[in-house]
Amino acid sequence: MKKGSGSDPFADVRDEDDDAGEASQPDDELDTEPPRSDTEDGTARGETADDGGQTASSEDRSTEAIVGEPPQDGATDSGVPWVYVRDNVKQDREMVQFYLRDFMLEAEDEFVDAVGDELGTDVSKTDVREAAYEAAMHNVDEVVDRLEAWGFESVD
Amino acid sequence: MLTYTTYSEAGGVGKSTIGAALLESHANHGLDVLAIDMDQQNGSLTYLLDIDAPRDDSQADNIVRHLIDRPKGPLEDLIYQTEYGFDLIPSHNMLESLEDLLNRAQQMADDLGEGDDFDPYDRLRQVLLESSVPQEYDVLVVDPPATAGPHLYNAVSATRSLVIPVEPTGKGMQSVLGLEELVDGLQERLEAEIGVLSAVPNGIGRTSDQDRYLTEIRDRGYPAPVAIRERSSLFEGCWDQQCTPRYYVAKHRDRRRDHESETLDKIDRLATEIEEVSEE
Repeated sequence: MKKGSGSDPFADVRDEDDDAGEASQPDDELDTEPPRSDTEDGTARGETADDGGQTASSEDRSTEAIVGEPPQDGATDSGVPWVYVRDNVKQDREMVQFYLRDFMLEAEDEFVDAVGDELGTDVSKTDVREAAYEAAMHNVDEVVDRLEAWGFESVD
Repeated sequence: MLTYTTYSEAGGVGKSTIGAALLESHANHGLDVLAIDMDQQNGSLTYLLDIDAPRDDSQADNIVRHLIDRPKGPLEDLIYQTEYGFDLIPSHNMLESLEDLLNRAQQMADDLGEGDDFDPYDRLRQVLLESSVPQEYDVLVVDPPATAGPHLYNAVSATRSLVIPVEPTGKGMQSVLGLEELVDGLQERLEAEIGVLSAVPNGIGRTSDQDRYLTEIRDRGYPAPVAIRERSSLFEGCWDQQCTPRYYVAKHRDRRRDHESETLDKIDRLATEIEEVSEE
């Protein structure tokens, strides 16, 4: 620690001023490498079989009436993503009871791991559950198919 | 540009009050002055100066959003004019979770492969560099809370000079020693030279005490142009009325008190001294 003033914290901008207003940042070499999104087996494990032609038809359907935009600003509109502003995973969430059969409970951990692998970061089961539920609300047809497979039938 | 952080390890030594008085003095000397309130507590500069900023609206843009690289607009839009001739970027409740938010922002930068460019302790300086602040102001003062942490580290990294109010007790002197260790570590971490513009013994009693503490601080090699005597009624009055000490004496005292004028003169001398030291 020295007496008197320390070094100039804004020396960078001073230097730029001296260089006839050249506005380039000192070290913004473009990192052209795209974010990694491919993992070896992450997707395959989380996917279910036999949903080949489903997605196209379910995208046609407007799902806005079923689930709206999340109340918190998101990363895509220059807001702070929800995960940044909340203090803990339960914040802003109501607790609901979910009854699940054993095969789902057993698959759940693997599902969470697979999603985490894809994201490249840890993610909590609570977050994955809500995201999965939201995703399902954008894919009503797929949910209907499963329920039909379970034996729910139209009365027509 | 004169840049400094007002810091003391102990709370309640008049850091924000002296800071406000210094800011007003710099402005009275004809300088363009910006203060940044990094103190999340309610008893911060923003409260003292009675700035009506939306501190608990998490949707409103604020300094933390800029520090975590999620601004809602230009930094310049966060600047408030005070009644005292200087400008302020106010405090916000999001500062309470600054450490956590910076960690998550760091994590996200790492995930995107941009981690090398993201230094959680150098964010304030980076944000200011990208704004017009270094060109538009002559003086920048950052007021962090009285604890070591990311608020302090960002403040020191962005200013690299310190003004340290010191409690004139054994404990207060110990805190100066503790600060030396902290600053040494920080210098290494930030790879920047950090200087002490002034130590300010505050709240001392008799003249002989003033002399003793000033001597002790100077013997340690710190500039210490003035010691402020015990002025609790003046400083408490400022907080009651939410204004600077000079304004309080001018508007809220029915008669002139010589000892209070003397204190104001000393703070003004301190401001002048700081301005001169920074030019050396």
